[in-house]
Amino acid sequence: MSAATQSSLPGRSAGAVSAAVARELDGLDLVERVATAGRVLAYVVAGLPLVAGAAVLLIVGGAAGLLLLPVWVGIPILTLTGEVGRRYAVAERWLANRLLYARIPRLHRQAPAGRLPWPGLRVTLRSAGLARTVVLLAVRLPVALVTVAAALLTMALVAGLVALAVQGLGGAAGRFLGPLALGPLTAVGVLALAVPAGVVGLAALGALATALRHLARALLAARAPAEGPVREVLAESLGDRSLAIAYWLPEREIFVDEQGERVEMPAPGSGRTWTSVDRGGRRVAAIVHEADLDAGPELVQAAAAGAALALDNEHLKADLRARLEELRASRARIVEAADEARRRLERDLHDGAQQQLVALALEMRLLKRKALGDGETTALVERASQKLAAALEELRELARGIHPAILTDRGLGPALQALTRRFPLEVDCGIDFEGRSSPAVEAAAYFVVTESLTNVAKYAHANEVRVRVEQVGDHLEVLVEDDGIGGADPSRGSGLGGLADRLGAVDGTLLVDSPPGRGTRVRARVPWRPALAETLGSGRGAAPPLDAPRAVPANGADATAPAPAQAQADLPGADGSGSAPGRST
Amino acid sequence: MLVAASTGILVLVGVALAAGHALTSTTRVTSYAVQGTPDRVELDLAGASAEVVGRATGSLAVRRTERFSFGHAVDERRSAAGGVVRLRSRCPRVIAGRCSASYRLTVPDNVAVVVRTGRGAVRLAAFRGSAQVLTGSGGVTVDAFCGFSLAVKTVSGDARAGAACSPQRLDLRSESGDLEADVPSGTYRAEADSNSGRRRVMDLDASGDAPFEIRALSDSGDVTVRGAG
Repeated sequence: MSAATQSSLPGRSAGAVSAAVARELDGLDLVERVATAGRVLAYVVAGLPLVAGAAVLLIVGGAAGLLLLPVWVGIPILTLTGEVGRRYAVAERWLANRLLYARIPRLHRQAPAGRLPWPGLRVTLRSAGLARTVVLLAVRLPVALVTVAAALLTMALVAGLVALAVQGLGGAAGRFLGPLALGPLTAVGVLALAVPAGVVGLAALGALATALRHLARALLAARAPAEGPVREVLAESLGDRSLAIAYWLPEREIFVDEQGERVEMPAPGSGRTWTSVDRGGRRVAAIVHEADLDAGPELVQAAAAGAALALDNEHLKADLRARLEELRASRARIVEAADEARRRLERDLHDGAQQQLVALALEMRLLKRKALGDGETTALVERASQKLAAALEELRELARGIHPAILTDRGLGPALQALTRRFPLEVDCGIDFEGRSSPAVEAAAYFVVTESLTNVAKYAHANEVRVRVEQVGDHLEVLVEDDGIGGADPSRGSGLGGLADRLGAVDGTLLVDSPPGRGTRVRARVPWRPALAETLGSGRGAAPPLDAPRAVPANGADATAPAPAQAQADLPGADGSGSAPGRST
Repeated sequence: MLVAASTGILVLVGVALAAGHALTSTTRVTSYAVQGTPDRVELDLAGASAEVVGRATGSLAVRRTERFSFGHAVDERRSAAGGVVRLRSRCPRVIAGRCSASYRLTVPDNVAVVVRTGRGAVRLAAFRGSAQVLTGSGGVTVDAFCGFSLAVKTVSGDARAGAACSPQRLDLRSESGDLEADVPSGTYRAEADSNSGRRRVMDLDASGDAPFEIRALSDSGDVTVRGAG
C-alpha cells in the first residue's frame, strides 16, 4: 500500500463521519421537531382554559340537570349541557387538527329522535360522542400536566446546561460540576451535553405530540365502518355525507360514476372540490367532497391513499359498467335507427306505391263505369279491381307490419286497439296507462303484442286471447296470453328472441311461459317514462345524447335506475337489426 | 439513531455522576475549643446551620459536621482578635455533588453571639447572653433564652423565640416570615404588628413605661406575642 493511500485514509474516515453526522442531522429534521414541540406546547396551553371551562360547565350543568330532572327543568339544562360537551369536542378537534395535525374528520351532530327535547336529550346522553368527550375531559388535564412538565424539564435542562457553560466560559471560580471545576474546558463539555439534551427533549415532546394526536383521534374521530362500500367508508372517515367518487377512464379521459355514466368534476367556486386518487403513479379515481372540509387536504390525501387499493378495484368495475353502458346505448341507437328506417319505409309505401294503387283503383272504377253495357269488359275490369283491392290491402298490411303510422301519430294505445280490432279472433284487450313514452319504448311494447298475436293466430289454436297493457309504477307491463296448445320456445327462430333483444335495448325484459297444452303467456316489462311534449309525434328524442356528462350527485347516492332510452334518429345509414314484426318463430 | 445516542450519552453522564457522588460521599465531624473567654462570637455561615447552646462556664467549643462529595469540603476560616472570635464558613458551589455543614457551639454565659446565615437554620438553646441572629430563608428557634437582648431578623424565615426570663429587649423582625414570642409574666412595652399578616397579642401585661420591651414586626407574616399571664 502506498504512503499516499495510507495518508488518505484518516481524511476519508473523517469525511465519512461528517457525512454520517450530516445525514443524521438531516434525518433529525430539527426545524420540524422544534415546530412540533412548539405546537404541542401551544395545544396544551391553549387547551387548558378550554378544558377547565368545559369541565366546570359539564359538571355544574350535569349536576343541576340531574337534580332538577324531577321538575322537568333539568331536561333543557341537560340538553344544554350536552350541547356544551359537543361544542367542546368541536373546539378540541379544531385544536388537534390545527396544532397536532390529527386530521380528525368533522364531527357529526347526533340527529334527535323527535321534536320534543326528551328524545333528543336521550339521544345526546346515550351517544358515544358524549361519553368520549367526558373521557377526553378526564384524560386531557393529567396529560397536559405531564406534557408541560416534560417541556419545562427539557427547557430547564437545556437552559441550565447552556447557562452553566456560559458561566464556565466566563470563569466561574469556586464552582464545580461534580468532580470538575467549572472552567472553560468543562464548559465546552457542558455545552456539548446541551445538544443531546435538546435532542432527547424534542424527541420526548414529539412522542407526546404523537400520543396526544392518537388520543384525540381515538376519542374524537368517528368510527369508520371497517367494511362496506368504499364511498361509505370514505364519507364516514372524512365526515362528509355528500362525498362522491368518480372513476377515471384513461382511454376516454373522462370520469364516470359507479354506474359507468360520465360525470363532470365540480367547478371552482361551486362549494365542492375534488381530490385525485393515484395508485402506482396513475390516476385511479377522484374523491368529490365539500370544499370547506376543514380537516384539511392532508386528511383527504391520507384517506385517498388508504382507499387507493379498494378504489382501484372499484375502478375496474366502473370501467366495466361504463363499457356496458356504452354497449347498451349503442344497442339502443341501433334499434332506434332500425325503427326509423321502418317508419321511413312505411311512409314511402304509404305516400308512394299505396297512393299510386289508390289512384289506379279510382281509374278502374271510371273504366268500369264507361264499360257499362260491355259485359265481357265489365267482368274483366271487375276482376282487375278486385285484384287491385286485394293488392292494396296486402300493401297496407305490409306497411302496418313494418311500422304502423298510427303508432307514430297517435301512440301505443290507439295502435294496440287498432291491432286487436283487426285480429281474426276476439281479443279481450285492456289498456291502462297514460301519456306517451319514447318511440323506442312504444315500438317495443307494440311489437311484443304484434308478435305474440301473430304467434297465436298461426300456432296456438286458441279460442280466447287476452291482452293487458298497464302502467305499474314507472314501468309498463305487457301481457298477452291465450288458451292454446302452448309449447312456444323463444330459443327457436328469431321472433321472440328478437323481441327480447329489442326490449333489452330499452332496459326491458321478456318472459315467455308456454307449457305444452296450457296456453302461452308472454310478459314484457319496460321502463315507462313520459316523453317530453316537444318529442311527441316527432319520433325524435329531444333529450341530451346518451354520452352527455352528468354532474356528480351531491349526495353521492348515484341514480341506479337506467338511463331513459333516448332516440337517436339522426344516425345516417343505420340499418335495423331488430326482428321483423309480424314474423313468427 | 441520534435520539438513542443522545439518550445514551445523557444516561451515561448521569450514571457516572451518581456513581461518583455515591462513592465519594463523606461525612466528617470536626471539634475544637477556643481557649479563653471571648467577649463576642460572630458566625458567618451562609448555607450552614447553627445550634448555639449556652453553658454556665468553660470555654467556647465548636463542633462542625460537614457532608460532601467529590472532595468539595467546607472552607472554614477562623480568627480571634480584640476579644471577638470570628468564624466564616463557606461551601463551594457544587452542581451534581454535595456540600453542607452544620455547627454546634457551646457558648459560656454572657458572651454575645452574632449569627449570620443565608438559608441555614439557627437554633439557640438555653443561651444566656445577648444574641443577634440574621438569616435569609433560614428559620430561627430560640428556646429558654435568658439574656439582655435578643435581636432576630429574617427575610423569609420564621422566627420563634421563647424566653426563660424577661429580656430587656426582644426584637423580632421579618419581611415575610411568621414571628412568635413567648415571654414570662411581667409588664412589657409591646409593639406587635404586621402589614398583611395576622397580629395577636395574648396574656401580656402591657404598659408604656414597662422595663422590658418586645417588638415583633413582620411585613406579611403572622405575628404572635404571648405572655405567661
